[in-house]
Parts: sequence; C-alpha cells; structure tokens
Amino acid sequence: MNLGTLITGSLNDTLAVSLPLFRPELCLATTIVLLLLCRIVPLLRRLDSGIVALGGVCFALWFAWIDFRDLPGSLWLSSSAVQTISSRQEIFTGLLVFDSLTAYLRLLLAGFLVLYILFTKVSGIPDHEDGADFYTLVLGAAIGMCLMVSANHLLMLFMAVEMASVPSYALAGLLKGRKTSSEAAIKYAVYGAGSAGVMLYGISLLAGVLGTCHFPSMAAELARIAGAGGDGSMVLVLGGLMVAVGLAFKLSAVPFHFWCPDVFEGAAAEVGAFLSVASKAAAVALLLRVAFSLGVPPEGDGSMQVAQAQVLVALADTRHFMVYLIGLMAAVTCTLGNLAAYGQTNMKRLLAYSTIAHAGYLMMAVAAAVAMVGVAPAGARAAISAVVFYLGTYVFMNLGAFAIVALLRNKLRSEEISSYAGLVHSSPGIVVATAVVLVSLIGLPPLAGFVAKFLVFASLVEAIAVSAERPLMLVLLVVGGINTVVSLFYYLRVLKVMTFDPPPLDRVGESFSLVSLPGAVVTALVVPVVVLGLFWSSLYACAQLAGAFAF
Amino acid sequence: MNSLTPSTHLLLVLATPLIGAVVAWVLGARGRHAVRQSAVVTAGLTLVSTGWLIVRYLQSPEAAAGEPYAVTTLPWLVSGIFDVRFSIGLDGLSLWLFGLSALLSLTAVLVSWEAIKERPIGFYVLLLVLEAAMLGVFVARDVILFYVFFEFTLVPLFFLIGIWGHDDRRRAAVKFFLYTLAGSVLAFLGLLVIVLWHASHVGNVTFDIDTLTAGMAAHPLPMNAEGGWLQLIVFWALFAGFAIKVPIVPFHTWLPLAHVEAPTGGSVDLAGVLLKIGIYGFLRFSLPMLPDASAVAAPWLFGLGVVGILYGALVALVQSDLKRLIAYSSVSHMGYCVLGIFALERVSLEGANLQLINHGLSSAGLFALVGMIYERFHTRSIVNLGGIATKAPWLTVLFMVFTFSSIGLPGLNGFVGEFMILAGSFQRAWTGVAPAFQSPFLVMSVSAVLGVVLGAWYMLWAVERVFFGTSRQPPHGPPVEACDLRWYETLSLLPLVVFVFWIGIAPATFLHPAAAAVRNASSAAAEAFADRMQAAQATIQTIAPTVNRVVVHPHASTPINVFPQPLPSQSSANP
Amino acid sequence: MAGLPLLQNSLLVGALLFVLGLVGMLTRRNLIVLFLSAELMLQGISISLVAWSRFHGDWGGQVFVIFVLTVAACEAAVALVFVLQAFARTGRLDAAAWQSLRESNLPRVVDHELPAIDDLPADWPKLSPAGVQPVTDENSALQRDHV
Repeated sequence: MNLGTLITGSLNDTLAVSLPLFRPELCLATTIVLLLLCRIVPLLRRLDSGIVALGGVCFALWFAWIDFRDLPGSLWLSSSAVQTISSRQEIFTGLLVFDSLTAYLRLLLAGFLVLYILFTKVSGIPDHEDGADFYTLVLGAAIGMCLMVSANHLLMLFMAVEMASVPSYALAGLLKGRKTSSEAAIKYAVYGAGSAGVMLYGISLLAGVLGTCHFPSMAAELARIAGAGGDGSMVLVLGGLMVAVGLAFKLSAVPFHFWCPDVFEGAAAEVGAFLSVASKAAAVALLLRVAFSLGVPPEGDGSMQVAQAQVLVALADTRHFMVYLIGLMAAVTCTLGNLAAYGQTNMKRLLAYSTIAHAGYLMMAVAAAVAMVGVAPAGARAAISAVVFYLGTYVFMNLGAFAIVALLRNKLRSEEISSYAGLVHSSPGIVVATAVVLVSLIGLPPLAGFVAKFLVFASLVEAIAVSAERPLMLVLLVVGGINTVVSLFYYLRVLKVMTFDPPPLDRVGESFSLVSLPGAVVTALVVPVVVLGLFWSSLYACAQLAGAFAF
Repeated sequence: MNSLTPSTHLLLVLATPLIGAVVAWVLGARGRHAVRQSAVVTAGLTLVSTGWLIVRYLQSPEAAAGEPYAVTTLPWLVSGIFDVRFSIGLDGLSLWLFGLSALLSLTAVLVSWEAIKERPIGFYVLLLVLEAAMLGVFVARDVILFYVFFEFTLVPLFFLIGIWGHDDRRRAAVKFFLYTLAGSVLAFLGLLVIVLWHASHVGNVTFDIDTLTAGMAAHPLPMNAEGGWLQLIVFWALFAGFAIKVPIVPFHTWLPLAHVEAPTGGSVDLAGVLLKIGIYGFLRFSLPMLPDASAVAAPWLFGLGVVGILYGALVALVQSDLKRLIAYSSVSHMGYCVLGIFALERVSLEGANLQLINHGLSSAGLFALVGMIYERFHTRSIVNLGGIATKAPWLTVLFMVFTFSSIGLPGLNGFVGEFMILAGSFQRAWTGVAPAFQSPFLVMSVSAVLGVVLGAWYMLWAVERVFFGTSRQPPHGPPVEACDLRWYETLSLLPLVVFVFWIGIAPATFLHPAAAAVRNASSAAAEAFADRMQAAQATIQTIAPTVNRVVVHPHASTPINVFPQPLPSQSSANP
Repeated sequence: MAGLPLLQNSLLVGALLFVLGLVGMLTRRNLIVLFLSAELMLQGISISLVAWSRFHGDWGGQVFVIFVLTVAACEAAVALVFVLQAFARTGRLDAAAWQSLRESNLPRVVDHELPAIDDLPADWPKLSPAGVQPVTDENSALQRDHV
C-alpha cells in the first residue's frame, strides 16, 4: 500500500462515512469556536454567549435526532427515506462506533444540553463575563461525553474520559470568589489525575497482552486466549480491574466516590447538575460499551454465525468476571450512597449521595444485562433498555432537583436543608415540585422514577430466572429493594422540613411562585417526570431500540 | 331492575367522595358550616350508595358463584408487554371492609362537627379524599392500583395528623408516615417480584391480582435452596408492609403515638379501616400467592399474634391516658386477627375476617367517644376523669356498649369473632399439627385466652375509673359543660351500635358472603401447612423415634373434634 | 524471542515509575508534588506502552504515547491553575489546608499541624476574567517588584 492510496482511502472513509455520522459533535465543536471568536470581535462581544451556545446545541440536537430517526428499526423511519445507516458502523478507522446506543445517548445528551442551557440562563450562575468560558467548558465536556458513548478503541476510551473530565475540573472551580469552589476543583483534579493514571496503566496492560486496542479485536483475542488455556489471564484481570478504577471514578462508584460529595457541595448547583446527569449518563454508557464490546463478539455476516457462537461461549469467563465486578460494586455503591445520604444537612451533598446511589441501581441493571447475554439475549436487551430508559428519566428527575436547589439558592441565599423550613407556607408550588422530583427519585408510582426502577428490577428478576450468576442477582435484588426503602427516609426528610418545620424568622427573600420565569423552568422539568410516569411507551420504544445495539 | 349497572354504581361510589371534596373546597368561602354540611351530605350519600351496592351484590348471581362483582377494567398504562389497568371490583373478601370504610367515614365527619375549628376546608377535603382512597384500596384488582390507593390513604392521614393533631403531632405524623411507607415499599417490591416472576413464565407483564394468584399456583416462586428461597424472601417483604400496617407487635410503635396525637376523625379512620388493610393484604396477597412460605411462617406468626394479644393487653392495663389505652387495645385485638389468620383453620380465618369488622366498629366507637369526652372535659387522663355517668348517661351507655363489644360479651359482635378465632387456634393445636409441636401450640392458644381475661380487666377497670366513682373536676381548663350526647354525636354512633348488635345476634349474615372467598384465599396455604406437618412428623419419626415422648398431651391420639370438619392432617395425627 | 528481555526490562522500569508516582500521590501533601507524581505515573505508563509497541512491532503504542503526553499537558495546565489559585488564596501549598469540604460530623484530619505563615504577600497579581479587557496601570506595571 503506498502513501497515495492510504491517503485517498482514509480521506474517503473520513469524508463519506465518518463525518456524516459525526455531525452532532461537529456542531458542538463549531459552537465552541464561535463562542471563542465572538469574544475577539468587539462587535460580537456583547452578544449573549448563552444564546450562541443554545443555537449550536439545537443544531446538534437536530442532527442527533436525524441520526436516531434513521436508525434501522426506528419507529419514525419514513418508508420513503433511503436507508443509509447500517445498524453498526465503525467510523474513523474503527476508533469510534456508531450504533443505536450512540445515537440514543447522543440524542439524550443534546436534549439535556438544551434544557441545561435554558436553566443556566434563568438561574444566572454563569454571568455575562463568565458565560463564554462556562459554555465552552460545558460543550467541550459534552463532546468528550459523546465520544465516551461511541468509543470503540482503548485510545478513544482514555481520550474521551479525559476530554470529559478536564473541563469538568475547571467547571468545579467556576465560583472563583469562593474558597470551597477552589477546594472542590483541586480535589476533583487530584482524584481525576490519579484515577486516570491507574486506568491508563490498566489500558497499557490490556493493550500489551492482547496486542490490540480495538474493542472487537480485543474480544476475539480474549476468546482465543480463553480457548488456549488462559495464558496471561492474571495480567488481564489486573488490567481489567485498573480500567474499572477509571470507569468507577467517572461513575462515582464506591470506593472511588470520595470526590463526588465534596465537588457537588463546593461547586455551584448548576455544575452539580451537569456532572450528575450528563457525566453519569456518559459513564454508564461507556460501561455498557466496554462490557459488551469485550464480552460479546461483534455482529458479523451470516457465514460467521458458527464462529461467533463459539466466541460467545469462549468469552463466558470474561463476562463472569465483569458481572461479579460490576454487580458487587453496584451493591456496595448503592448501599453506601443511601446510608451516607441519611445524615446530610446540605442539600447538594445529599443529592450527591443520591447520585451515587442511583449509579448503583444503574450498575445493577448493567450487571444483569451482561449476565444474560449468553443465555437470554432478549433479557439482556431488555436490561440495556432499562438502563438507558433510566438515564432518560434521570435527566428530568435530577436536573429538576438541582434546578430547584439552584433557584431556591437565588431566593434564600442558602443550600442548607434547614433553610427550606416552612417553605410550604410561602411557596407551596415549589414544595409540590420538590415532592414530585424526590418521590420520583425514590421510585414510587405513578412517577417516571417508578417505571425506571421497575424496569431495572424486572431485569434482575429475569436474570435470577435464567442467568448463571443467580446468587449474585438475588443479592442485588434484595439490596436494591432494601435500599429503596432506606432512600425513603432521607428524601422524605427534606419534604418534612419543607412542610412541617416552622419557617425561620430571619427568612430573606420573597416567595417562589411557579408562575414566574424560574418557576416555569421548574415546571418544565417536573411535568415530564409525571408525564413519563404515565405515558412512557415512546421513550421505552427508543430505549428498546438503543438496547438492541450489541446484537 | 334499573339502568344503573353495578360497574357504574361502584365507580359512582368511588367518585362521590372526590366530588364531595371538590364541592367542599368550592363551598369553603361560605364558612365552616357549609363545608361540614356538604361533607356530611357526601359521606351520607356514599354510605347509602355503598349500602345499596352491597345489597345488590348479595342478591347477585356473582356473589353466589364467588366471582367478582361490579368489575370495571380500563386500560391505564398499557404499552408493549406491560399491562397496568384501572381495574376495580367487589368480592367476598373486600365486601364488608368496603362497607365499613363508608360507614366509618360518616362517623369521622360527624365526630369532627365541633372539634375542628381551624382550617375546616382542608380538614374535610382531606377526610373525603381519605374516604375515596380507603374505598379504592379494597376494590382495587390491580397491583399498581392497589398500591396507589394504599399510598393515597397515607398522604391525607399524614396531613390530618400533622396539622390538626395534638401537641406532638409532627413527630407522630412523620413516624406514622415513614413506618408505613417504608413497609409498603418493601411490600410493593415483593409484589413486583411476583409480577415479574409471573411475567418470566407467561411472557407478558400483567398486574391483575386474580391472574397473578392463578399464576402463582401454576408456577410458584421457588421455595428451595436452589431457587434462593425466593418465595420466603418475597413473603417477608410483603410481611414487612402488612405487619407494620396491622401492626404486629415488634412493629407497632408508631400506632399509640399516631392515635394519641391524631384528631378524633383521623383516629376513627385509622383504627377502624387503615389497620385492616394489613390483614386484608395477608388474605389477598400473602396466603394465596405464597402458600408454601406462608405455611413456613405460620407457626411464627401464630406466636407473634399471641405475643401481640398479651403485650397489647398488658401495656393497656397500665396506661393512664384513655386514648392510649384504647390504642394498645387495638394492638391486642389485631393480635387476634393475626392469630386467626395464621392458625390457617377455616373457622378461625372466617372469625378473623369478621373480627376485622368487629374491631373496626368497636374501636372506632371508642375513639369517637374518647374524643367526645375530651371535648367536654379537656383531658384524657383516667385519673382526672370520673363520675361521668351521672352527667352524661347516654354517653356512658354507648361507651359501655362498645366496651362490651370490645371485650367480647356474648350477644355482641366481639364475642363471635374472638370465639371463632380461639376455637380455630385450639383446633389447630389439637388436631392440626404434628404431635411434636402440639404443646407449644397449646400453650400459645391458652395464652390467647388469657388475653380475653386481660382485655375485660383493663377495659372494665378503665370504665369504672372514668365513668363511675366520685366526680372529679379536672384541675385545669374551662368549667365542664356537663351535657349529654348532642344530635350529631348520637347520629355518628347509632349506625355502629346497630351493627354491633346485628353481628352479635345474627353473625351468619356477615359470615356467609365472605366464607367462600376466605376459604379460597387460604386453602393453598392450609394444605401446604398440612403437608409440612406431615413431613415434619415423618422426619421426626425416622430420625429419632424417641422424640415422640415429648407428646405429653393425651388427646393427641384421640382428638376432640369440636368442629366436624375433615382435616387434611388428621390422618397423620391419627396413624 | 529476542524482544522478550527488552520488554521485561522496560516494563519493569515503567512499573517502577508508575508505582513511585502512585505512592507519591498517596503520601505527598504538597500540591505541586502531588501533580508531579501524577505525571510520573503517566511517564511510567508511556514507557510500558512504547515497550509493548516495540514488542508487537506496530506503532499503536507509540501513537498512544503522543496522545498521553498531550492529555498530560492539558491536565497539568488545568491543575497548575488550581494550585496557583489555591496558593494565592491561602499562601500554602499544603493539601491539608483544604479540608473545609468534608462530612459535617467528621473532624479535620490532622497528622502534622500546618506550619504558620510568616508573611502573606498582600497583593498578588490577579488575572482578570477571560473576555474582559484588563485594567492596567502602566506606572505600576513598570515599577512593580514582583511578578
């Protein structure tokens, strides 16, 4: 192969195949450039950076939607449209992969960004001077998250995680005037640097032993090693554990969760919302991606069916390892998150532990999905659907919770739970909204959180019935159930303070009406929580489409 | 005979309190009188309508065939394989509890006639919402719907206690709410596991209670080490929810607090109806869906029932607060219900089902009367009260009626229920268990009888101190207005008195419609228990034949079969 | 295989550097040393990646190293900003000075007391927010004794 053909080939690949499937990320990148350019041109300097960012994100949302709509099997696929996208498409010479999971999560992230930018415009934390920095960082991290979702190569895994993390460090330190914000940023950066190092060492071990960084090739190599008697499997286990450290850091899974409460407490509530929703969604998707890329052979053409089945069997040990790793971490994460949330006095810290606990529930479903791959593909697909459905509802629940915290902070100048005492007398609307969000986070019907949690538990029961890891799945089910009950206490304590406790005499600020601009934001986030609890079939249809990504 | 179909009728009964709540809200601008009048009219209409529906049910062919009546099934959250329906209907198990809810709601509204002066709109609206939720719990035929109604009974009562309660109301409301909610979430998770297990066998996720019951019979949850004892885990999850609601003794601590702090109307609904949901849950879900686990747990819960009876009675004996005394008597009486259910004998199950109604009537009446005494004397302390009989003879008479009903005087309703429960538990102890287990069962049954004695003791003692003796002026408060029952108070209690006598004199009227349903609900569990006893006996005989020496009771070989009913285990007890 | 000893030796060096970095990260309290240790970890990893790359005879590992270096530079830049900011605020580089965010019911962790600060410079040069024209006084800029 000479240089000419190489260049032409990669040019063709890039321009004809890869870039059209990369349009949402390109939109975000262009927006970043525009945001920076606006600052140079004096005339444009007075332009509101939030508007620019919102415009760019809307384009990204549109393209993400088009990609999702045109997926094979999509409900919205018009019959006349020329079907150009196959169900699984490796782009950029195999560094990234485009499939239904990528499309779903990218749509989710873009949709989240639209809501998020609207919310930050109302809550006013990035002021006019900081706006450009803030949105640049947010969009940059969002690109990293999109890459996390579509990573198909260890290099991309590392790059995407770093690309999502490094702007997040800066975001955590956004409140330059406050010491706690600086402290949050330092802690986040130190933890991040450490876990990135450990993960990278794991990557070097995996890549070195397997001789490749490309996920499907790694799966094939793993299967070959398993067939050959498991030579070097100790190194692989070590490497896998070290990579898991990096993922656990992003997921804020125990025991790599220590940064999470401190960062959430120190940083602005707006930043907390971004980290707890977008970062979490991307991390869960990355976990799914890694687990399924390494545990399941990629879909081949018809002639490969037999070989593929053999590889699937040969990878059983790998999956077993991953199920136990993810499952045990999920159980511990969930339990610790819920128990630690109980004594919190700061609302953001409480929500941080709640985020940790929810990561636990999500990981339970991931473990169930991996456990069922070999024996019940339909069950595994349902479990993945449960995970991504959960993420879909989580956007509204948690963004709603943080929006309430941020907007109440603007009124009350405090984020302590005790400062919410007696809010029901002055602002009943916001109390009802908080109740909806928190009850949904607990997972009670008829709200969106219930459906999500129900689907997660459904996948666990399914796994108990069919999978080889029955004891673990049983433990996860019981742990999940007990944790749901434990979570009642701290969520409802907030409501109790809001309704029963007498309001402090020195309450500053006026009442918070839902008929106002901030109120409208809260309403816009809370109404979907109720609506999705009652009419969830279309979101679940999308989730099912995404759930089919691995098969 | 008329154009009102049963289904529409039932929907109307459910909708009436809600419509009434809206009307009361709208009328709120016109003041307290308008609100309470509209609430009484609503509760009265609901009661009449419910009574009529019950009469129609009793005459219907479905009642004779043991099928659900007045069924409405509307798709609610149907998507893909998920099938959640708004499905309601009446059957033998829910019939009387449904009627009791309507009856006691009227009582609750009437006893609040003068007591509630602050924020009356909210109070009556919540009371009517609570009535709708209570009615809904008993007619729900879908797990999700049941759970939603169940939670909706908590929320109004939470606010009723938390806003209109006495001094320590906040703590009481929060404790009540958290205990019950925590339990109910566990129970709900257990039910979801049942739903999902069913789904994994038939392919579609149905929440219909009847379908699930049938499904659990066809493919029960695993009850062995290989299946992870899933059935037992689910049973204990359900148990957590229902036991807190009943409450069974170690989980009862929320109850006295909630009762003491609640306004009278709230206490009436809480004691009269809400506690029954726990037992109803055992009969509706645990026994028919998890028969094997129920059989395993039955001896323990039999014992817990007895512990509850004795503990409640002993603690009631030393109370100085009249309302708290009655709250602990509720713990004791619900212990009888638990005992009756988990004796797993037909007669005791029917008795327990009847005892639910009996306790609903008597405890609601007693709580209402305590509320009236409090209104007059501004104290509930037994030592500060006394000689009420001379000032308020009719109040005293009614209190005596409910007291006698509560302690089981023959001729009143309490006697029938308690007698059937005790008879059933003795039957179980004599003839229904392996000889090796006979003595513990007998000890427990005899202890339960002791509870009756204790019950008479603490109730009559309290009556003596409160109503008779010298008239003691309360040390504080405004001068006592020594007047007897007012018209609305008489009206609120009279229907209860009628039923107290009716059930006492003609219990068959009430036992008969529920008998088949109770039998169906418990037959699987009773059989499983008999099988276990057989197996246990066989094991004991093979492993250590000498263990038979522990059978001290001479009647083991010659059972006194008071109740001529064939017992599945008789053959094993009588080799 | 001739490459095997080379691989083993290089991996050993890489692992050594990595462990040194990790231990440094876990034990050091100086913020700058903390981040230096993180860099040390990355260097150890780079060595092993290059070694694997040579062993397998492809360029993947070496390409990986280029990316790692870039990311490390970004990370170091961001981290140093925080360190500078922290120093400007408290005059300390000790990680133990940053304990105001913690569980409300737990005490501060104190192994050594923080040393007292002799003289905290009153006025550090400050950066204006990005996007805002800095206000400069030419005289003071010419005459200031520290940068």
